[in-house]
Amino acid sequence: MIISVASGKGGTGKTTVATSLALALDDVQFLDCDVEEPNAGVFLASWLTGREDAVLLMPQVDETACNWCGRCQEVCAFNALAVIPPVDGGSGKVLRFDSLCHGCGACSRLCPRNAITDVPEKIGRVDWGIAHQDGSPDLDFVQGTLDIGQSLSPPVIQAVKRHLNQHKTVIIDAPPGTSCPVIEAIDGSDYCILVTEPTPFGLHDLALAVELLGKMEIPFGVVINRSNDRNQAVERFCAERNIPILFRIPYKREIAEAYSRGIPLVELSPEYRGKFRAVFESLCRTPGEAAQVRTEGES
Amino acid sequence: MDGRFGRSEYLCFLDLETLEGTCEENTLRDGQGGVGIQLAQNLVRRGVKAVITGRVGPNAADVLDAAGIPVYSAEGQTVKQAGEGLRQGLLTQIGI
Repeated sequence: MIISVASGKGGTGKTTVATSLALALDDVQFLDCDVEEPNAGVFLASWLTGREDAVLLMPQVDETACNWCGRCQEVCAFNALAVIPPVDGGSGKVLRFDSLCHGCGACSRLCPRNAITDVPEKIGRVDWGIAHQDGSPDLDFVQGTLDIGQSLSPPVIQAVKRHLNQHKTVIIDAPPGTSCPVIEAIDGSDYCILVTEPTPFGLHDLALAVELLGKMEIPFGVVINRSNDRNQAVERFCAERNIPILFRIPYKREIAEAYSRGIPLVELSPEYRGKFRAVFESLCRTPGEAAQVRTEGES
Repeated sequence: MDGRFGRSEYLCFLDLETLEGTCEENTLRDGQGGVGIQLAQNLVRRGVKAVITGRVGPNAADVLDAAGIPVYSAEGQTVKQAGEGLRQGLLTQIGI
């Protein structure tokens, strides 16, 4: 089973939920796909034993073989190439704009002169190993990191997901938002947990994420973090759409303090181990229709 | 004159001798990204000898520079004033 943890808004507690969910279950592989800020390792003390480059295949044009036909530039959906034919006996040029190239390979495949080769350019890296937390089973841990100065995170996320082990329970920590990186991270998930907070911003961006998941046809439920007495708007939004609220994490100083020290929620409050397990077990029984998990004393 | 290059509303092609020419809508202006590169490339293919605009981005400037096409700024002027200005050497060269 692949469970991704996402949110429209950043900073709602995705990593808090993803890491504690991972620590509460057995036989887990954790994929940190938030490659612009891969910080799940702060909660999960990890020993990284392997590393590889994440690359983008970019076109290299052999200008001696080019006849300046312009086909590569025509087929480039991102305007990453400009063909400058020679004038007045000078030499022609093909300019490549790296920040626009998505590495799709259309230009190299469609060049009538076979003058273009795909060359790997490093844009990030993938690290893997084991994460250990006293009192929890060890996790297989994989994280992606986008290089400074690079703008295209989906290929790094793909590189992380190539390590995905179908035989394990896979927990994916997704980046925030609703655009390409999120889609890349959560694509193929059996279930998505959306983490939100009871603020107008949390609700606004939750609505965007709900729309995205509807389009991707991934079943999902909501966790309300920093839950307090102002939950009504989020609760109403979910009730109107039959979106299950899996559980609520109360707005408490001790949780914030533990977070600030990198202590996972399940370590601070072991009762969350049971809550996360109950969510997981209900997913296993009825995928797509996670029952709400309620415990005493929830706000 | 529009302040923008790739996303300008219209393109005018002028004969510098007569200051006469034609204008057309810039059909690239609503494109997603790399619009300046695409427009610069089209201008290269159409064989223009100089470009007058407001400002030009670094990518489009690279393309025009590679093709040896100078770029001038005449933001806020009319097309006619800009053409006159270029003919009399009054415009500032920008870009690379």
